[in-house]
Amino acid sequence: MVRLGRLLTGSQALGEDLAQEAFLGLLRAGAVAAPEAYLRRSLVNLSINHGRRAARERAHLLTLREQQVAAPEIDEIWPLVLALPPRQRAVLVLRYYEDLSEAEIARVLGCRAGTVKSLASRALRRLRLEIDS
Amino acid sequence: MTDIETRLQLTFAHVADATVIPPVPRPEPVPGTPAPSHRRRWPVLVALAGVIAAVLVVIEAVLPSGTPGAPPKAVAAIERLAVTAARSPGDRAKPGQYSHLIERIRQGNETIVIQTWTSHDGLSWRSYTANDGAPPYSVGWGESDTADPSLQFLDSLPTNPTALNHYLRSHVSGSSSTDAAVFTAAGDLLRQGDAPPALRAAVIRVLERTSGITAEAAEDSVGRAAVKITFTDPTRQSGPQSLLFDPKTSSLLEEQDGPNFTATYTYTRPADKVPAVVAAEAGPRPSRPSPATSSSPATASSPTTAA
Repeated sequence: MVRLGRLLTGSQALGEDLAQEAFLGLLRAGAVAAPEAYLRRSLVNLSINHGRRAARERAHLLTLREQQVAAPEIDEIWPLVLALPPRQRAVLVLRYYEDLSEAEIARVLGCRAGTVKSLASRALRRLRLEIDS
Repeated sequence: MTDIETRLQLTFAHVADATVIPPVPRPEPVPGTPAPSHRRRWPVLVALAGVIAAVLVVIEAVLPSGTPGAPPKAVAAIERLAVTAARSPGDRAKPGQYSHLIERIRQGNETIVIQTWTSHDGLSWRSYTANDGAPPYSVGWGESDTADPSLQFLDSLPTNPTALNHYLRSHVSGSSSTDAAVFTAAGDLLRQGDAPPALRAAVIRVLERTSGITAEAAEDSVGRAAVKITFTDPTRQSGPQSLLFDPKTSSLLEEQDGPNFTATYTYTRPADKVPAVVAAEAGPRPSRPSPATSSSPATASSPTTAA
């Protein structure tokens, strides 16, 4: 969950915070049939809400809290992913890291599968344009 | 899988396992010196070669040579749909009602059914078939844009096809080309069935102005007669996209995206209430996004629920 939180937020510290919040939510929810799915969905929603509330704060946090260490094995696409709107980023992470289908992503995000396709399409298009520019 | 998709998989795996998050800002280039590039060029070149080959094979077969827009036979079929759409009143939810949509999503071997109840001000409750025990209900606000349009957003769009075409081409993003993005946006705007007749007709007429379009009589995956409008983009690896319309009402029956994805809309009607179990299980009503992300005023009220 922390790894997923890290990918969704771009921040180890924030990813840990949100993963912890998701676990607390699970504890409050009591018996849940599928804890992992519940946690994943909570974490994605928390990251999207956080992104909406405080995109600028998050960017500031990233520069303050993360040690800026070069990682040559990381593709240049990573900072471009972090610049995407939260829902577009979540779709990419769920699709290419969690390996979820669009129907499953629709359930996690609470939207229609067609919307997932549109969000993914927009995100990939934006990345292509950024890379080509 | 495209080069970008492969890069995303590798990057996510690296970042997830990294002990330190890589730096976010891109390095500022030093004036007068070329910036070092860490790009992985080989996947791009391989993909580019494939794309060029595909373009050479398909472009003559699909695109009307030298003229933007669909070929004449397709235009005639699409125009009939547009005329029908303009005459069909539709079943739009009134204030206090909810747009109720049932969609069946088939992706590969998986099929799920999603039901959506959307209030007049854009708050949506959803239920999902859940064969893995995951939370089957949700509630949330749409984004109120072309990908997830609210009623207010639909009402704000131009109903003149030329103006709408211009608007979409200047506002949509995503997909492999602007034509592909416009085609996707057409499905987005028509999916919920809430677009007023003049807008539905305009959206359909925008398709007449889109290159790479074909139209044919067909059946959707549950056997309903349909007019199938297909968009083929030679550069798109996942195959053609199709919108299937009811020839009697011009309502959207189904969307197909390549061979492995089908969304079938089996029910679109106004509902007076959100089922009580959905409203209760979906959780508390979320606060509305900031005005910057929504084009409609905050006039929401608590959901009316059915027992």
